[in-house]
Amino acid sequence: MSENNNKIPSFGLKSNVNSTYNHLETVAKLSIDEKLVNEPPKFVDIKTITPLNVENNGIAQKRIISKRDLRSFHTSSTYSELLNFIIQLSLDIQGKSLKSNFTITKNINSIIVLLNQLDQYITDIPPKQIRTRFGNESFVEWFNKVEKETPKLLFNLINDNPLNTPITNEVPIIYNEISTYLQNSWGDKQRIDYGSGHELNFICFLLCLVKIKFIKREEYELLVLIIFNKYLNMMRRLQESYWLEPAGSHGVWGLDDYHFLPFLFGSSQLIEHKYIRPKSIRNDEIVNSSFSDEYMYLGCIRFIGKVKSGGSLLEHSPMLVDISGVKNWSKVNEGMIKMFKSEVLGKLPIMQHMFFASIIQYIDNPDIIETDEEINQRKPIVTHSFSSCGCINRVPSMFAVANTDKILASTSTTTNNNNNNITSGDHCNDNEQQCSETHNHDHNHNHNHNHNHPPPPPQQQRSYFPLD
Amino acid sequence: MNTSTFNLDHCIEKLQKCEILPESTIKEITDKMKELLISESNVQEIRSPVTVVGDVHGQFYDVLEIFKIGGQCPDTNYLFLGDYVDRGYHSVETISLLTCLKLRYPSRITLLRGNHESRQITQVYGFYGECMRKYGNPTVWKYFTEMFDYLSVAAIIDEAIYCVHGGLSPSALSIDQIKVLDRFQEVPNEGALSDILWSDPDPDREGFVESQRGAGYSYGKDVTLRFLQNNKMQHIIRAHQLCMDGYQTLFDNKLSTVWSAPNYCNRCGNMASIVEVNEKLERYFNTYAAAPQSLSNKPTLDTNKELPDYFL
Repeated sequence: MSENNNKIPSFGLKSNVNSTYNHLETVAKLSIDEKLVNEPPKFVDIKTITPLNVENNGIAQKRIISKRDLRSFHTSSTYSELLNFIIQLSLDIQGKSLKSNFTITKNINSIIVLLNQLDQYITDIPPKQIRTRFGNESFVEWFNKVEKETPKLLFNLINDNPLNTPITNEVPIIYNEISTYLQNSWGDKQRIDYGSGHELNFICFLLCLVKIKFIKREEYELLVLIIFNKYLNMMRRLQESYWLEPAGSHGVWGLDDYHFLPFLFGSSQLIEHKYIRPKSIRNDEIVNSSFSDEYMYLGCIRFIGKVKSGGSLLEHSPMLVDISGVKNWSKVNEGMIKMFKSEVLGKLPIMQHMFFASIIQYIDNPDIIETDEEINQRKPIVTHSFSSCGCINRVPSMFAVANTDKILASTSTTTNNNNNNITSGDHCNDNEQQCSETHNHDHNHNHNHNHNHPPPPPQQQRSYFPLD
Repeated sequence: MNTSTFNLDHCIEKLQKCEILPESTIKEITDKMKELLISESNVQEIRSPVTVVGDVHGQFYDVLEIFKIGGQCPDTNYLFLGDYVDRGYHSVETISLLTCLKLRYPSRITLLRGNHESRQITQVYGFYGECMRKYGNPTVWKYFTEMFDYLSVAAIIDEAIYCVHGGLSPSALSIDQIKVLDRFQEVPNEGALSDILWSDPDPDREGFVESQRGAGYSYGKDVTLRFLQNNKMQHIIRAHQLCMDGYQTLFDNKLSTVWSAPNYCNRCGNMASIVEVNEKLERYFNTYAAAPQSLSNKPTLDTNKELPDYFL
């Protein structure tokens, strides 16, 4: 290793000599080898590395196809490197707010500029008015645009050029490899869905930037507090704009329909916070306060409350409520790392979508033998999204309100619905009666949707669904 | 027999309050269910009138709402198209209730298998985790997943309406082929048994195309109409796909999708429906919104027993 050891900082964690609990020590045990948890990833030189998959234009490939492959991956140095990276990111932001005073480095700012460009494409490509699927097909257009532009944007990013510098020659193949991770961070354009596997691709993109030394260890906290947080906000915008389906949702038995890492990173931010406890997520005053702008975990709770309906946090997110019973944020963070290892890195439906090439390598372990059971189950089922069908001219309550505001050019702030409200029995009865009346008219006929029918006016949209 | 009937009524009464049954009772009802199901055909023959129910995914109070809207079993004859578990909070209570109703009124309720009635899927999408949380061990999950292997995979109403969870398979273009499949197994990842639980109709494409889901196929209007003609059927009712209106019809009104989990995942804001099929084979989609959840039966708070294992 040519790197001078003195240049590698210790973890961002400032040790508290008075504390009887050493979070670093505990979390290090969750790594593959606790002695290695402080190690940097294996660096590569982007100018001299030999790209793989040249016949596929350098695009990174999926290599985990079977349960045996996944077990092999778990024994590899790449798995250890990836897990250590996530643990290090988590440790480096311990106790830090999103609104801490940062010195934003030049390279971090360049990534911000790149993400802003992709964000602008969302503005440039509005959702289609008429949809034939749950997900809005404008996402495909946005995705294709990102796919096309990313190699150039990354080339300029990494070579310190202004972002939109024209490129006269073809972009070197290695940039297609790094592009694969960023391109696939936003969802799947065929299914128009998004899940924690795509979130992991974004982490792999950041890991590439570290491995090629574009990002230094002292910038890790900025990778989470600024870059990952910006990615998270962009994903929420994509989810709201294009109606991405949750991929692989566990429903109430998961943390969230879309994301995992904001809970892991967010719990680290809150370690030893003076006022906010794990149980604070049940307090609407705290969740709706500016604390949610400072700590990702609370931001997630607020966003869930915004998009979920038909019950309280206890009813639609019992896992989160149960976790709020954990005694402190260190234990929450520790549990999140264990859960991430098991429920994301340990699950074939998710990990079969991970990409590998020359920077993040798939290193096969020939000592891992496929079992008879694994042979019988060789073709895995991919991530299972809702995959809805049907002509959708109606918009559920939350987005209906948002659309109404836009259509009416209202400048007022949307009133916060109290997500602890439960739909009243009377309201349900009214709705049921309305439905009954509607369908009695067509008792002996099936509805045949006319896909060319214009959407009804907003007031009628809203009336179809009980509101809080 | 009297003791058995008495116990079932007691179980049903308890379940209707959304209370789980003891582990030993689950073993008893799943064993009895396997005995009952083993003599059922892969393709069940059903007489109208019948009410057809789509995916419910553990949304227990919405299942109670179905019985309010469509009528209580056995007053109403029911056909459920599968996907009883995963995602919702009450998969255990839902599948337990439907199992007890089937045992109590075997000729008035038919339960088909969905793609989620499998070990591989339930280990990832919630049912396994739910059993661990509610029972402390995976035994109940094992009892139910063993029972899932015995569920019928299709049904025919009055020799005219073909009912199945997902749809068609290029490997089994005749209903007679489906009747002779070996269904007593984990849902495989490919082949006819997998296809009919995983496939989706595609109004934009013809023929069979491998599904984006990774199992099953998309099937077009052409192969659907050919299937109906070759098998002398009038219509297909299937589930498997979320519909914002609770249902959708395709292919010149020859195929219906019914979805019965309203406001799916508390996120989608969708309507749900059940299909009432009368003696004239007319189909009426009875739509409904999410039931208000009972204020009782809230999950227990602040006990270590309830914490997920990762956080202990």
